[in-house]
This record gives sequence, structure tokens and C-alpha cells, in this order.
Amino acid sequence: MLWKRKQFAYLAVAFLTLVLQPASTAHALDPASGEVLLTVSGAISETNNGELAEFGLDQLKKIGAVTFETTTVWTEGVQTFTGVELADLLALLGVEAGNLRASAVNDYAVDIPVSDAVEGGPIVAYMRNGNKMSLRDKGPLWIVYPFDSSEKYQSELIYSRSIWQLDRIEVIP
Amino acid sequence: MTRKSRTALFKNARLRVILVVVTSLLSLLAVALIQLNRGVHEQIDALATANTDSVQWSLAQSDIELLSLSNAIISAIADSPPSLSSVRTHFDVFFSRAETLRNSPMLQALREDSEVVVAMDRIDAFLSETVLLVDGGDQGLRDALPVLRDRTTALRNDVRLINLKGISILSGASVSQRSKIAETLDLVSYLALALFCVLVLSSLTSLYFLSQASRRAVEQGQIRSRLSAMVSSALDAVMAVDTDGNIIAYNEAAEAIFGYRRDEAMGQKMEDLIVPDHFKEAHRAGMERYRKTGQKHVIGKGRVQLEARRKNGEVFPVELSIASAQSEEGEIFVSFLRDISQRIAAEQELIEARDEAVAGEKAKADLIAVMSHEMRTPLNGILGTLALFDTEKQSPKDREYLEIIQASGKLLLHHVDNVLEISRAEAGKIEIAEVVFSVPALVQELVASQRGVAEHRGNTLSTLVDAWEESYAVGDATRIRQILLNLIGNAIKFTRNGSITVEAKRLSQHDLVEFRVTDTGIGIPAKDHERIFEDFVTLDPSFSRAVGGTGLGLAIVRRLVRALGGTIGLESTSGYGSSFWFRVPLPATQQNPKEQAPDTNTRATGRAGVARPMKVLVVEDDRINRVVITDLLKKDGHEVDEAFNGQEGLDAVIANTYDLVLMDISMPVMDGIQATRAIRNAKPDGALPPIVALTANAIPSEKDRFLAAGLDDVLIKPFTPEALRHILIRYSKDAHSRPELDLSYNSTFDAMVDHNHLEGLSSALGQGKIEDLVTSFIAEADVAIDKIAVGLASDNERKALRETVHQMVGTAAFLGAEKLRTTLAQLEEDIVEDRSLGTDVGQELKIIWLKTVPELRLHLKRSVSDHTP
Repeated sequence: MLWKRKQFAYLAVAFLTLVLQPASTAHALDPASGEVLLTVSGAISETNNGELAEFGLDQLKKIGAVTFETTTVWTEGVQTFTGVELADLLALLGVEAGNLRASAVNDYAVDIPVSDAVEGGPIVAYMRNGNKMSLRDKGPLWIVYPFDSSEKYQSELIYSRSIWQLDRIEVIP
Repeated sequence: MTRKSRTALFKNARLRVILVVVTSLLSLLAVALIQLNRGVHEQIDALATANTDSVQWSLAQSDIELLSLSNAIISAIADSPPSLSSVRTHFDVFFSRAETLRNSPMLQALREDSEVVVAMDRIDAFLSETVLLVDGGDQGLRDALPVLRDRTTALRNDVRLINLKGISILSGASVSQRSKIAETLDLVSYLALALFCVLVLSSLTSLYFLSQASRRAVEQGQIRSRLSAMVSSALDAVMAVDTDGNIIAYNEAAEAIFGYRRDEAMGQKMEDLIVPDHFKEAHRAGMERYRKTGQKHVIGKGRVQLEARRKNGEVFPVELSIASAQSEEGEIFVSFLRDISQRIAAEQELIEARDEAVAGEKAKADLIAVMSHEMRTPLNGILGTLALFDTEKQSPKDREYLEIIQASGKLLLHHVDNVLEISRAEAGKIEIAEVVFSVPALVQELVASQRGVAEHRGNTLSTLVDAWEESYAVGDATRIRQILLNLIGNAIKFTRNGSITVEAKRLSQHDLVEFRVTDTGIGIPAKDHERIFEDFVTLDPSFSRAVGGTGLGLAIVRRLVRALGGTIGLESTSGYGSSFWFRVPLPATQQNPKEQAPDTNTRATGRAGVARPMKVLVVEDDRINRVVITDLLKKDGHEVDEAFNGQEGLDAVIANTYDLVLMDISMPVMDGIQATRAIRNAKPDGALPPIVALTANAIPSEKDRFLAAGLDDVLIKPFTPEALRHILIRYSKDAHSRPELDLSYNSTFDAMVDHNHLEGLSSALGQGKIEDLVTSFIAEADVAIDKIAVGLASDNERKALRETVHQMVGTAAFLGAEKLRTTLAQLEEDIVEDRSLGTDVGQELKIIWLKTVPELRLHLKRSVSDHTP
């Protein structure tokens, strides 16, 4: 019985831990379902997998979709991008300042200041011209700035931050 | 505006121009700079968007990603089972990269390279073939791995080629871009430099103008203080008012003149302070007019004389000038006023003094006239009575006494005449005639007539007359004779047992003739040479008493010479004699003298016939004169009635029929003029006797008055028996040889022309001369009368006519055109006094002229018959 008691105690702690934890975070971030497209680590207040926040396509879509048209320096013609605003994503994760180190499947990595994430600013696009983006199409995720909307988005710096084949973000405070 | 403020304004204008130029230059440069700056920005942006760095990274990445794919394949081959997912991922990454190479607009230039095209095509071929394997089943892919390994290895050359090409093409583009930016930056720096220069220039200019302005401010301060010193020390009141009439400046002199202190006057209405009540209306109207229309009447018109009022209410005359000026507060009026009450008072005093002096002169002239009257009347008595003596019946002793009395009386008469001559000359009444005469003949004649007198005092009298080229000269022979007689008389008077020479010579190349009377008498001291020509000067009272003389002789001579346009002088040494000379213009002429006028003297003293017996009424209050006249007439066989005053004369004329009435002028009860008028009114024209005035008043203007009153002629007392006889002959009814005279004498009242006067002139000047004068007068007057008649219609021309009228008055008087003269004289007076004229004055004048002409012509007709005696 002693063992049982001990066991019970552990279970109780574990239960409490399990119950209490979702009490503060569980509502904000559901666990990822389906294939994980984006993994956010680092200084985030919300997570759904240990230290990490993982997002499948559905989770991203649930945050809220934004669609805009713009040209890019890498593609031909006007493109329509749909995705979640970086600002919304970071708000969800409780990120207010610092830098995002974004990395891509092709091992490209770039630092994006959190201050870039404003309303009407960059989105984490998951659809281009109405289609999901495959790896070959610079998918599955692509941080796209609305280049055509403002001259301030037409600089080398901004272009370098437009990372495609994005799969990881580390928030550096 | 002053020259100074204009200059300032001009400088202001220049400053403004410079400012405008600098400002526009600056803005131009700024705009250019901004434009360029934007250009630079765009170019730098373009450099950024050109994205050469990331493009090159992208190109390099394609090499790496191909290598990663190759490695993944090699690992997969080595592994067992081979990890196909890594191969698939790296394939996709490379695929994506190749897509970028194919589509990126930034690589357009690269894609146009032919070798790149070939390489790209090979990459595409690899991808399109491999994609089927990658997307196919695991087994197929696994089997194909070795082949894929070889192909990726082969493809590396192509990727490398694209990389190398990209570097060379894109870096070239970037170099040209950089040099363009460098150029633009150069331009920017030049422009910046220019901008800097312009800024420096404009600062310097501003500094210059600032110093100018401050210097001007100093100057203006000095000018202002100078001006204010001038204004405050000015002797004239200086006042400035604004357009509302408020006093805004007021100096010390103004305080003294007007009595208001400065603090009392400032800000007050000028009108309330110094404008007298009777000027206020005009002042207000003037200001109002100026405000409305800008018309200036007093402002800027120089000195104007007006009246102003002092604080104590005294109104006094001022002279002022007002100028308008622009000030910061708008237009102001600056007045300079001078109190001229003292000057006006002084002027008034002068005028009064002058008036008194003129009145004094008038009194003197009157005195002379009265004196002559008073002297001539008793003289008339003396000389007339003497003539009544039957000298045949007297003892030789009595006869001698009578002759002495007569000589003394004549001398006295001569003196009185001298005085009258002076008075006439003073009145400007010396009339100069022009006749043709022979100078040598005149001198010879004179000398001959005076030789007896000269010899009486043991003097020889001789002539020295140059040979005369011309026969005759033109001039006033009577006056020259008068002058010479006077000088010869003097020479005889002051020379005893000496010689007297009378010379005449024509000065060469001249109209002038010099006459000279030289004696060997007592001479005149040099200090008296000027003085002797003055009035009433006798050098040695005792001597002059001995020889007699009023001291007027030379005074008259000088006046006559001057009237003739000549000069007179003398050379004399005390004790050795004198030489008097005079020079007068006497132009030579080729004309022959027409019939010479008989000398008035000769006529008066020469033998006259006796008229047929007439019935004569003598109206004279003075017993002596009445007796003398009556006896003279009775001696000649005339029937004479006497009346003692005008009233008795009138009664007698009404009761009886007379052939002639001799009418004294100044009489008690009714004077001669009143009596004459009464007679004219009482008697029908046909029954009127001629009436001749008897008067001692010898002033010519009086004679005109008598004639105007209706008297036919004037006999000036004292008169010689011959003069009386001439009158009797003139008015005797048997003078049938002159019917035209009857016409005029019987209708004198309506006569246009004084025929007696003209006849007298004709006697004095010669009929030919009179005819010339009358003819030219008719021609001139015809024109002049028309001109006057037309001119009178217009008020503006009336003043201009005055001269013409005045001349006509003179000529009409000279020729005795009496009616015309009186009418014109009245007209002249009216014009001078600016009286309104009747509408038909011109017409009336013309009618009078039309009536005058035929009467004047009578004297032309007579030329054939008249001078036969």
C-alpha cells in the first residue's frame, strides 16, 4: 500500500501538474494536429509541446487568415498570398519584443526583429495563388511582406527576411 | 517727395529685387537638391532592389543545394536501407531554387546569356526527368539513385557556369549603377556647394544692406535733427496738419505768432485755432475738395496771402505756403506762415504817403492854374486899357510912360505864360508837330528878328550855318524856334558889348542836328552847369533882378528838347562866355514844304481886318474887362450890349437877336457854362448865336470842358485887340466863302467834329499836314472802330481793347473828333473801372463814326480853296 500511496502521491502531483498547467495555457494553444509545419521555440509564453509551440496547417488557419496581392523579386507576375499575420502569431505566443531567428528547410536562416510584426505587415503565408505551397513551390511556409504596399518593404534587408521553405522560428529575447 | 526718400525708395526697390532673386535662386537650388536627393535615394534603393547580393547568394546557394542533393543521394546509396526522404527533400529544395533562377526578374539579364540558356535547359531537363522518379515509388527511386548521383555531378558544371556568369554580369551592372550613383553624388555636392555659395552671397548682401540701412538710419537721424533744429529756429511759423486738419507739428515761431503754446495746439483742429471765422467755410470746402478730388488750390502753389487769427482773437494778415508730404501716418500738410501785418501796415503808410504827395503835386498844379487865372485877369485889364489910349493924342512924355507900362505888362504876361508852359509840360501836354522846313532859313530868320535887340546892348549877332546837303528837314519848327529864341534871349541878356553866334550843323551820318548859341558874356561857373536847367533857378539874384527873369527859361528849354527826343548841354567858363547846345533828331527829307503855317504869333499880333458891323452881347461880371471889351468892339464899329452875369446874358439872348455872344466863364449868379446850356435850351437851333468863352483859365483840358458844354470857341484872357478881331471875323455872317463852317457852327451841339479846333490845327501845322493826318486817321479808325465794336461783344476781350481805345481817344482829340472822343473816353473809363456796358455800345460807336467821317472830309475838300486869303 505504501507503494500505492507513493504512487498515488506521484499521480496526484502529476495530475495536478497536468490539470493546473492547462489551466493557464491550454486554452491558448491546442496541440498540433496533422503534420507539423512550424515549430516555434525560445522565449515564448505559450507552448503546446514541452518548450515548443508546434503548428499544423489547421492551427495556423485558426489564428486568422490574411490575403494580399503583391509581386516579388523571385517570382514572375502578381502573386496572391494567404497566411497568418506574423503579428497575430506572435501575440498568440506572447512575444512582444526581441528577434525571431527564422530557419528554412534549405538551411537558410535570418533574423527578423519582432518590431517588423505589425498589422498589415508580414504574414506567414501557407497559400500562394489559392494553392497550398509544396516544398518545390517555396512552401510549405513563406514569410511574405506586402512588398508592393510600401517602399519600406522594397529593400534588400526586407527581401533577406522573406524566408521561404520556413519550418522553424526561435524567439530570442 | 524729396530726393532723399526717393533714393531710399529706389534702394528699397532694389533690395526687394535682390531678395526676390536670391530667394528664387535658393528655392531653385533646394528643389534641384531635393530632386537629386530623391534620385540618389532611388538609385540606392534600386541598388538594394537590384538585390545583387541576395541574387548572388541565391546563385551560390543553387550550387550548394545541388551539392546537398548529390550528398543526400550518395548517403542514400551507402545506407541500407537508403534514406529516401532526405533525397526527396533536397531535390525539392533544389527544384525550388531552379524555379527561382528561372523566374526571378532580377536574373533576367543573366537568363539572356546563350550559355546560361543552355545550362538552364539542362537543369530543367534533369529536374523534369528526376521529378518523376522522386514522385514515384520508393523502389524506383532507390534503383535510380546511382544514375541520379552521376547526373547531379554532371549538372554541377552547369550550375557553376550560371554562377560564374551571374557574378560577371551582375557585378558589371552593379558597377555601372555605382558609378551612376557616384555621378549623382558629385552633382549633389556641386549643387550643395552652389547652394552654399548662394547662401554666403545672400548673407553678404543682407549684411551690406543691413549696414546701408543702419548708415541711412544714422543719416536720417541727423537729417531729422537738423530739420527739427531748422523748424524750431525758423522765424516763420511752421505747422503740419494731417488730412483731418489736426495739428501734428508746431514750432516756437508759431507759438509767438499765434499765442497758443505748443501743448495747447498739438492735436487740435487747425481750423478751430487759427482760421478766422470768415475763412472757415472756404477752408473746410477746400479740405473737403482736396480729400475727394485731390485738387489743390493753395497747396504747393507758393506764397499765398490770407488772414489768420491769434489766440486773443485778433485777425491779422499772413503770407503762407503749404506743401503736402507723405509721412508714415499718410499724407500731411506742412504750412509756413509769416505774420505780415507790419509789412502791410508799412505798405499802407507808403500808399498814404504817396497819395499825400500826389495830392500835394495836384495842389501845386492847381495853385499855378489859379495863379495864372488871377494874374491874367488884371493883366487883361491893364493891356486892354492901354490899347484904348489914343497914343496920337498923348504928349511924348505920356506916350513913353504908356509904352513902359505896356512893355512891363507884356513881360509879366510872358512870365505867366512861362509858368503855364511848365505846368503844361509837367502834365505831359507838349504836343510835337512834324513839318517840313529849312533849318538854315529858320536860323537866319530868327537871327534877323533878334539882331535889333542884340545891337541895342552893343552885341553883334551872327550865324554860322554849315552848307546843307539837303534842302529840308522834318520836325517841329515852332518848338525849335522857341528854344533858339530862349537861348538867344539869354545870350543877349548876359552879354554886353560882345558877340553872339548861332550855329547849326548836321552831325555826320545822323538824323541829329546840333544847334549852338555861343556868347562872350559873363559865363557860368562849372558847379552850376547842371543846376541852371532846374526850375526857378537864377544864379545871381541881383543881376537877374536887373535883367528880369523867372528862372524858368532854361527849364522850359530842357523840357522842350527832351520832348523832341534830344539832349541839351553847355560849355562855359566864368567870365569868358557860354556856349549852349542842343541836339535834336531832324531827319532830312526830299519833300518840299507844303504851305507853311503862319506863325501863331504873327497871326495873333499881325494886322487883322475888321469884320462888318455885328450885334454882340458881352457877358462879363468884371467891370474893367467888360469896359475894355466893349470899347474895343465899339471902336471897330460893332453894336454892343452888356450883361453882368449869366442870368442877365440869358435874358438878353432870349429878348434879342445877336450875331455873337462873348461869355465869361466864372461869374456870380449863373456862370458861363450854365448860361450857355440855358441858351442852347431856350433858343431854336437856327436862331442860336455863336457863343465864345472868355477865360483866363488856359489849361487845355478846361477848353475841352467848355466846348463840351456847347461853347463854340474860347478866347483866352488877356487877349490882344487882334485876337478879338479874329474872333469877330470868324463869326461874322459874311464869311460866305466858308459855307461848311456855318453848317458846323450852327449845329455845334450835334456836330461830330470841332471844326474850330481842326481849323486852328490847320493854321498851325499847314493844311497839307492836316489832310494827311485826317486821311490816315479815317483809314486807321475804320479798322479800329470795327475791332472795338466786335471786341466789346466778348467780355474776355474787353481789357485787351483798352489800348486801342486809348490810342483812338488821343487821335480823336487831336483832330477834334469830339463826339467820338467823348464816347471813346467814356468807354475807356468803363473798361478800366470794369463797369458793365450797354449791349449797343458798339453799335452806337459805329453810328457816331459814320457821322464823323463826312464832317472830317469837309476839311479835305477845303484844301483847294482855303489858303487863299
